[in-house]
Amino acid sequence: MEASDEGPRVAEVFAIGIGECGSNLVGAYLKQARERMLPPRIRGYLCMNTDRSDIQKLRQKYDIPKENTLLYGASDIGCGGNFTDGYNYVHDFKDVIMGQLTQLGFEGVSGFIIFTSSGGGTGCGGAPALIEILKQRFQEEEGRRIFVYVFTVLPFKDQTSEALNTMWSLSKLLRGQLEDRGADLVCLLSNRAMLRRILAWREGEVADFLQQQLQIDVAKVTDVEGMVPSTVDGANEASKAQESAFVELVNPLALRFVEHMLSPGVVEPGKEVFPTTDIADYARKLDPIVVPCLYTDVSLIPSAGNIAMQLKTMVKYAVEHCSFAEIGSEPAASSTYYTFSGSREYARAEYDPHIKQALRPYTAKGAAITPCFVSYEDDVHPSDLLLLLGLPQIPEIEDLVNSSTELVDLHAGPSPLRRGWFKKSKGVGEEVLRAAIRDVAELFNLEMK
Amino acid sequence: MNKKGGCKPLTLGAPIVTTLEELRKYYSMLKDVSSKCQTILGGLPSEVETSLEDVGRELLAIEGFDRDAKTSWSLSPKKRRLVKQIDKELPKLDKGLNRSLDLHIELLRNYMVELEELKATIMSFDIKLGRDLNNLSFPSTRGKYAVVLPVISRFVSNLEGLSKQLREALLKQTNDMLEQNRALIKTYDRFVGIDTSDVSISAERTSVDINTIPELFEIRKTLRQEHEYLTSRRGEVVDTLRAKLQASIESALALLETARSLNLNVPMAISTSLEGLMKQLEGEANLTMLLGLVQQYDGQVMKASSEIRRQLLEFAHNLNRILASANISNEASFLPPIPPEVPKEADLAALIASYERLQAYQTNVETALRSETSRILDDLTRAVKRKVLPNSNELEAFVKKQTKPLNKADLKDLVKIYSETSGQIIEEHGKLLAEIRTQEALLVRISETASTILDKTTMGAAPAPVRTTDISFPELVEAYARLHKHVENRIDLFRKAWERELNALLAEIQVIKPTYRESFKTMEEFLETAIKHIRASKSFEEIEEVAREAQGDALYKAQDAIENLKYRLDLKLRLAVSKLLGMGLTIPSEVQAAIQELTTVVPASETYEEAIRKAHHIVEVFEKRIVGYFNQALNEQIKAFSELTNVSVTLGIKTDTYVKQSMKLQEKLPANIEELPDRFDELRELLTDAKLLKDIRSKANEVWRNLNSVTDLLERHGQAEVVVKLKDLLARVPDALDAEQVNTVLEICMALVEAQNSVLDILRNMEQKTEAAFEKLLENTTEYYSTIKRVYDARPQEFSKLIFPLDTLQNLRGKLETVNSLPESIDIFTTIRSLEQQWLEKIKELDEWHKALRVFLADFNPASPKAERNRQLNEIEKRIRETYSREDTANYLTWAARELAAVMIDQKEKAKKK
Ligand SMILES: Nc1nc2c(ncn2[C@@H]2O[C@H](COP(=O)(O)OP(=O)(O)OP(=O)(O)O)[C@@H](O)[C@H]2O)c(=O)[nH]1
Ligand SMILES: [Mg+2]
Repeated sequence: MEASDEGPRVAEVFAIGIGECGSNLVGAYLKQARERMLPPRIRGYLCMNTDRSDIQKLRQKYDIPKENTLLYGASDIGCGGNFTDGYNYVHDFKDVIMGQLTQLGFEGVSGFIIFTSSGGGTGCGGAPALIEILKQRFQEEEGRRIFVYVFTVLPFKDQTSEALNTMWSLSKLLRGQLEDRGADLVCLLSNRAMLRRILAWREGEVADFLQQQLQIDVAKVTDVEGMVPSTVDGANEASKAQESAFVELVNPLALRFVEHMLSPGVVEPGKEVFPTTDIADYARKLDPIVVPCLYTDVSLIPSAGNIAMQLKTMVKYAVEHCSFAEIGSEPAASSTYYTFSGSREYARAEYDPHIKQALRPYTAKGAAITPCFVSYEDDVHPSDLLLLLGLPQIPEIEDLVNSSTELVDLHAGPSPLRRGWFKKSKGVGEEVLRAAIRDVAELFNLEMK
Repeated sequence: MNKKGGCKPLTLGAPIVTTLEELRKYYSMLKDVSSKCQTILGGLPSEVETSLEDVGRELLAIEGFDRDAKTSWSLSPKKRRLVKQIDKELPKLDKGLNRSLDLHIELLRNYMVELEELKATIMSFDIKLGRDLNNLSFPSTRGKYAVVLPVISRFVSNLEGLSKQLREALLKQTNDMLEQNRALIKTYDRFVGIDTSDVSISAERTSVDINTIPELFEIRKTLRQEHEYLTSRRGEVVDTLRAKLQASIESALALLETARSLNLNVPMAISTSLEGLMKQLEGEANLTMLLGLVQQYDGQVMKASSEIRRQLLEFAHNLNRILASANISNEASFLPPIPPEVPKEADLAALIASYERLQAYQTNVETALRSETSRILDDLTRAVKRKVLPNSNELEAFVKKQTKPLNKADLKDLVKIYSETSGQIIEEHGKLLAEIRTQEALLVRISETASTILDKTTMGAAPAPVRTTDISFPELVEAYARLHKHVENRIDLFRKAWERELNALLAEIQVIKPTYRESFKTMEEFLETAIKHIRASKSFEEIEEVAREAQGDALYKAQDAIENLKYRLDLKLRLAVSKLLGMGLTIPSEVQAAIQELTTVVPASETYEEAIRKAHHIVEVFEKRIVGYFNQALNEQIKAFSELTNVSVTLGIKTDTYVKQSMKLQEKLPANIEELPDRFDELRELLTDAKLLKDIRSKANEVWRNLNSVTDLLERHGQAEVVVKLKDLLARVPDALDAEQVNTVLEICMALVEAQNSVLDILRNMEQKTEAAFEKLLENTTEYYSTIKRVYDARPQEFSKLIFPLDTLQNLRGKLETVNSLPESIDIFTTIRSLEQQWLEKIKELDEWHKALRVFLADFNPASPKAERNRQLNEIEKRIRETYSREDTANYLTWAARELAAVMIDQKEKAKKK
């Protein structure tokens, strides 16, 4: 990557996809960047998984070179939702992983973005472990601070086993922060919410797509949300196909967010960023758990007058209709970061007061709002608004907490045989899981049922 | 064994030879006796013969021992044994000799007893022999064979001689008797029947040849008895003989009378002597006398019969002579069979019958001749009636002449008539054969000749040649008739073929068009005459000659005709061409070539067909390539003119009178060579009409101006190619309009009009394409284009007033389709373009506005009940109006929001229905 005249201000980021979901997102992102000839935003990447066939599929689907993939773990059929295995494998194969990363040239990067799902085994368990070994490698061995962001994908509605894993995952990631060995930022991308966005915008297309892929006749789109089966505990081919069809729908949206996240940190000709922004800034300015809202192709008609009103309409729409996890109409975010990009005519810094004004109803009292304008000389760039809401109210999490608790209750009880399920499928005891659920509930001020 | 005889026992030492010698002597003596006995007795009993043979065998045995004894040593046991043997055998021999001798003696003694009984008879016919026999006494036979044998031997010799004499005498006597008896039997037999059993020996034997005397005596006795029997029947014989002779004489006399009545000449003397014989018979008669009368009778009958036979032969000879004189063989098939020859014997009755047969034969011959002659005459008559013979009339006369005397003619005349008639038919036969050969030869000639113009199948197969041998005259006549008919048919065929041939020649001329046929008139006449001639002719030769000549001459006549035709056409051509040239018409090279071709045709030809081909060629060249060319050229020009006039109507130029004129002109086509110049002249007048020219020119000028004005526009819209062509056309116009002929001017005018029409089309086309492209551009410019259109469609007037005058644009487009004036359509076209440009700008603005709708419509739920939806929509409208102060923006977004909401509701409903 060539440094531009404006100095080495590019966030030297390395992307790691772990598990099926994580690898897919990385792979798809790269493929899309190649196809749309977007400027490169990352220094290098690695897709890792404990499942051989997933890796093969990935390489084929996204044209990933072999050296950018890594198969590790005790067996090559994945972890089947057992995050303890996922966690352990990373530690067990630490040398192999580091070796491969070294070969890919990750020395000297300033941060990592780990892509994963929160509901699986490999990614869910592996991501915290990966952060541990990376922080250990750089901060403890090199004495250099790096940031590690985790873009984690929350499960679809009704994926209860995944929900439970998500509890563990969030708890683990956040607890790690307490020891400075956790994620610097956890971005929640909820499959359920993203699917809902897609359905709202492209209802007809989605119906066609599903009809074509799964031969499902979608009568009511609202029903679709509940159509994605849980697959982590082992599932038949039909279920897998069904899930992957939905995943195909959701991923492009996730990628757009990734693109916008990375964009301000990369210098490009004809592009101006104000105030100058580093990717590491997100972690500094925001609470550790972030829900993004992305409103693309914003409509602003300056000639039609009443711009303040128009911006207010814009923000309202972004928060209420464009979030990547369900946050409701009063998220009361603890911190907010927004990026308004577009041609110079629209992405104007003088709009900042109006935008802040518009954002107030959605933030907690005293919450900081950090702006960022990315303007382009040409007028082909559409106007996009990205909001990053730090630690907002997330009704979806409440849902996850509830269904996880129900699952644990289901398997808990006096019978040791029943309780064996925890160890067998998650590798931990009931208490650990209950503790994790409690952690998350506390974090989001939820009252446990 | 004779106990008295026997041989003295041989004593040892005594010469054996002597004794043996003796024995041999006696043996041979006995043999001699035995053989004489045999002669005398005419055979020996077997016992006697065996006895002699025994002696012989015994003797042979002893001789054998004796021979052995002589060769043996004297005192050897063998010799002794042999001597002993001999001693033992000798008495046997001795005994044998005695026995055999005794047997012989007994035989002789018996014989002598028999002779004794016959001695008296013998004496009766030979006394000497009787005495000799009496003197012979049987010797004593007492003693040994040595004594008896010689005595017996002598006795036997004597007896033998006597016996011989006796036999001879007896033989003679019996044979005489036999002969006598047989003569009698023979004579008797002629007159009375003799039963041969009564005289069997005499009747059966011709001679006696017996050796034994007793037998001879026996037969002599029988013959004597038979003789006596015969003598006893003599009287009976005489009576019978007389009666028989009488009857014969009577019959002979009657026959002689019959002969005379048949005109045979028999001397009366014979009858007289026969009557004399009759008288003699009436008296006493013995056999000898009767036999004499029989002899006389026979003589007279012989005489008479020879006389009659002579006359018969003469009659037969005469008949044969008459036939022979006319060369008719008496064996000819039509004649009756020849009667049997005149009998040679003297049987009077047979002779007379033969005579009667001869007479009948003559009558039959006459009848046969008559019928054969009339048969021949019939054949001739039939031939005459067939009417094919060349000499029918002559023959008819001949037949008449011969028929008339036929019934009354005698043999001689008949023979004459027959031979004339048969000669005639033979001659006719010959003549007819010759005629047949001639006709056959003619047939061959016809078929040879005809083969040049007739094929084998139409000729038919040649008839089989007429059979000349073994054929009757009528058959020959029939054959001739058939042949003759065939020949006539052939000639007819041949004639017809020639007729056809010549007609074909004629036909070839007749296909030439009448206009040009004048030159062939003489030729046609010539051929027609020839055909008539042939049709009338019956002679093969004549037909052939005439036809061939006509065929040959046809070629020369044809050449003359071509020469004539060429001359005539050339004359006409020169005249017409010079006129046409005078009118300024150019004669194209192919027509000139055709004219040249006409003059170079050489009438001289190898064949008739070639000549006629040339004639046709001349006509064709003249008609098609010369006159035809001009006519076609004329016709095309007229047509072109009328088409032009039709077209001018579409341009608004009045042409009725011209159309009429041109039609009249066309009706006069095709013109012949003489008329051509006038027609061309008429056409030229039409084509240069001043008024018509003026009208067309002014129209052309108008269009030219229009087109000039459009080139820039076309060029701007990328129609450079069209413009190049158009400019080319426009540049040519001023000069072209100066042309003096209507068609040239009209053509350029038409070209201009066409160009104008196609420019109009191009403009419409351009409009369509540009519009389509523009629509595409709009679709690509905004993804909301369909909604925008929908919004417009929902309220076109408000939209046109407040947002953009889209209706004006639409109207102009419709107008362009129908406008026919080029200036006007250019105007519309340019206006549309500028409006489109403005619309595009507006669309871009609308696109920006549209994005806002997503935001507002996010709060709209199509699934809500209607009232709720209305509330939502009202809310949305309110918010839109709050957000945008500009009226058009707010209005448009409100309309669009409502449109989209309607679509969403619609889709929801549809989904529900599913
Ligand atoms: N958005 C998105 N979600 C995915 C994708 N792949 C899987 N998921 C979700 O991720 C969860 C399952 O996690 P996976 O990533 O498949 O699991 P893993 O990390 O490979 O772990 P194991 O399969 O258990 O070894 C479910 O909730 C899926 O819906 C993807 O490509 N995109
Ligand atoms: Mg997996």
